[in-house]
Amino acid sequence: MADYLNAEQYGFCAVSSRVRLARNLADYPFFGPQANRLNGEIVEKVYRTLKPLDTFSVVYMNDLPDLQAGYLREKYFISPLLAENRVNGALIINKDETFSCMVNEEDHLREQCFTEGLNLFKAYEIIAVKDKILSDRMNFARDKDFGYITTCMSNVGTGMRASVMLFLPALHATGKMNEVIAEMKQKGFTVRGVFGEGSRGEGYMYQISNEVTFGFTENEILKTVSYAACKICDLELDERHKIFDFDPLRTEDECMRAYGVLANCKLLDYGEFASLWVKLALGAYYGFYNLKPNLLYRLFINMRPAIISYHEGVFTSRDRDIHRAKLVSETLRGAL
Amino acid sequence: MVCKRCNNEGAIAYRYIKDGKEYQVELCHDCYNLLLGRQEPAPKKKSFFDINLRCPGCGTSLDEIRRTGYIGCADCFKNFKNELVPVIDAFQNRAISRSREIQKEKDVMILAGEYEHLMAENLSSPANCAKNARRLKDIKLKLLALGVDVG
Ligand SMILES: [Zn+2]
Ligand SMILES: [Zn+2]
Repeated sequence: MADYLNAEQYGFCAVSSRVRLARNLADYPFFGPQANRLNGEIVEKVYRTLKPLDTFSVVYMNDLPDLQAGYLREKYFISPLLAENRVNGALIINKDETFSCMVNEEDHLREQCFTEGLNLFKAYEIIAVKDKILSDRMNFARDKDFGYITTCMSNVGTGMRASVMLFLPALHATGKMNEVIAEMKQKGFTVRGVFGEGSRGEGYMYQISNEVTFGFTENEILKTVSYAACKICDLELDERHKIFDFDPLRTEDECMRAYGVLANCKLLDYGEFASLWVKLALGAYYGFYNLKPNLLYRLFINMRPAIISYHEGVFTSRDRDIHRAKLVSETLRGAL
Repeated sequence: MVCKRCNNEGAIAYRYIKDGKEYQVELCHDCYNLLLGRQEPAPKKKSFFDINLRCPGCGTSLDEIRRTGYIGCADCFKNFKNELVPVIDAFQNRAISRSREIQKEKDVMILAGEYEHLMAENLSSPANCAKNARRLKDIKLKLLALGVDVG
């Protein structure tokens, strides 16, 4: 598929891409008491099918420690709905975390693939291989006119949601986000803040995805969402240039200060980190220092509280702040 | 005994007096209550009607599906396929009733997206201009045919 959609020039705006497929088995109930009794078998079936392909692990929601739950949630591998299903909810995930499958969430299977940057086609390529094998071995519910049958009618058809996470500080700061959201809604896309409302400090992350799953082919969904994401990135970059032109020295001063604090701090809470990270990432885009987008985004994700606790084995907020400061400053110094 | 109103079994003969004359009518419990204007019929075995509007596989009623957009099993879809068309249409942003318009919008979106992208590519590296010229012209014509003039 066309390379131009994996556009590198959008690296400083497009954080990650995700493709999700909703699938159901024709011979199992979708929810209710019957499903509680029977659908534990599905976990085994999916695991057995995937096992020969890669190293997979199964994480059962019924005995999931809070720490691991937090980690998996902050990485978007599990949803709150899945975590709540203590009866037979499970996550099946491969070793390098590129492919995962929630079992017994809203649908029997929710296959997911994440890639870095704007790279929906790559994500689809990865997920399509696994989906093909699963559909060869399992009896997926399908209808000849409507495609995949899902629990909620909002997912019927391809069962596919393609989304791109976008970092949009300039559109946010200049108040143009509402306009963008309205325009995209009209064109059939959903744009929403990733961390919900009141998330100002949290990095200005937005997610764009296809609103409907019926009446479009997989390829059409990937293309239209990619183009729409490019369009938003273009608008964002325009605004970033305007901000810079307004007062170049001031812009550089603010970004360099953020860099200075992050490279030298000893205690760093998540709120402060998130707001300084925005300036750090902007400064990298303007070229005040040399930091690659992927390094910036990994830093952003890995500094979340549950992820720090999970990786570093620290549990008080002070210990987390110490580790966060250490990890950030070491990363920044190592990058130069 | 068969109910005079709904033809279900299990009717009882009710007597009533109207205009000083005595009448008799065979009614089931439900229809009797209904005629008396009582709000809720007493619970009883499912009527023929009721069974028809529930999925035999999982017991989910068509009413519930219409209200929530959720089906209970794959059989719900088979059994209620026709009835589900408007539900799917509503949940899919009218993708069925507007399918013609959507096809056009989709074509325009994809062509215009590629057009903008190639133009941006030309801007950032002029070496691409020659390579992209033909495709750009092609897209322009296709968009014109769809009623969109990119200039
Ligand atoms: Zn009756
Ligand atoms: Zn059913």
